[in-house]
Amino acid sequence: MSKRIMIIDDEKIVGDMAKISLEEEGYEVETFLNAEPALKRLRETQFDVVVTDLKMKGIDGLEVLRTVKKLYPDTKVIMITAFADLDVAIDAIKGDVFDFFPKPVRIKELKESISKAVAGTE
Amino acid sequence: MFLLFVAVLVAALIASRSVSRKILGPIKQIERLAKSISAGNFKKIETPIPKDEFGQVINAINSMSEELEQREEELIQSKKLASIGVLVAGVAHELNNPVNNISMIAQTYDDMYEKLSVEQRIEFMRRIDQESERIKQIVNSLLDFARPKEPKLREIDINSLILKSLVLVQNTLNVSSIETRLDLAENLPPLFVDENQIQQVFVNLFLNAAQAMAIEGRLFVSSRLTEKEDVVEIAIRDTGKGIPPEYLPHVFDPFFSTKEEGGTGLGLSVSYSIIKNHDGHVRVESRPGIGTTFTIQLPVTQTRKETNEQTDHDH
Repeated sequence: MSKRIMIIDDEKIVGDMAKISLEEEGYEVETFLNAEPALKRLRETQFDVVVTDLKMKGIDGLEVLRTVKKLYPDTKVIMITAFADLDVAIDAIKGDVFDFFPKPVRIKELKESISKAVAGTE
Repeated sequence: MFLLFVAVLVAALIASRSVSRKILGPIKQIERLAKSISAGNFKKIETPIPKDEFGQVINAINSMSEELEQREEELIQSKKLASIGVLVAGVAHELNNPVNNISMIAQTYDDMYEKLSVEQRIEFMRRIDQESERIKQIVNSLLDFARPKEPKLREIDINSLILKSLVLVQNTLNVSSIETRLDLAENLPPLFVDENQIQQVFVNLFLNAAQAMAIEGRLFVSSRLTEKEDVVEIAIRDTGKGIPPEYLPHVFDPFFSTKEEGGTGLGLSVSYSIIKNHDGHVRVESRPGIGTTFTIQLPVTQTRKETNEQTDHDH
């Protein structure tokens, strides 16, 4: 069974590029530009890893983290962000984020992090 | 007897003049200095300082003046630095997104070159180009904000400029089915403005209005001459979600954004600077859930003749 990855970022290019690389690795990938439709989708199906941007219009990344952890405690959440503040990083770690990448993101590093995250969900 | 009387009178007159000089003189000096310090001119009394109680007061005020001047300079400097701090952080964050986009496209192009179709590769390059444009706009906004260009003044009809600016945003308005209602006064005097800069301001405000309204909002634009006939007032009103009262004083701050809009967050700050540079005013009023109105005031320049003389002088 393929592992399912969800990517939430209001920059369309982030989801599009990550999807190409991740599908190449055999993952099933769904991308979203906003948290609302993403969370709606999460309520329908479980994902193994959720990669989310921190600061988005409407619901932000920290709220996504909280909701995902409530729904599926086993799902790992990875955060990426253009706004790399120390306070925010601390909040994210306290909220049980699996990994944290400030932008610009190295896709290879994101792939490695995701592969470690899914290893934990076996 | 009479002579004695006259002698006493003369002595009294001489004495009173000396009293005047010794007491009223310094009092007047101190009064003038106090007024000048209140107006922000931190002068001091330099004339020979008398060695009496007045001298003490004058010394005290002189040293107060010096301290006040120093404190004001420090305050201005620290406000400048804080302002620059906000600006720099804002720009850095804004740039991160397009830079990351370019980076991720380049990495994918590199890693997956063989597996990509020709169309995909071309598409990637096109998107990199778009993101570069985005960076260019952020940088330009920043420069606009940092060094507002000296306005190149020309006599224009403000109503024509309003209409011209509306044409530029027509597509955006149509996409959201926004209806525009105009109430432009006839026979407005011509204004001396930098046409490009004022157009930039109008476009910025129209786009902000469009973004504040979801679908089928209404945009009202009006122009009129004030009663005193020295100012033309242009009002731009939308029926959008409005701005909460606690945010209103910050609307023109650089990068003050509710992140609900796209754009660089500098648009309103730059608009504000442009209007100020034209000796005008801009203010905002808003009611959440009802709408927002931006009102611009631009001065009507006195006489054509005066301005022509001024322009010749500048050359």
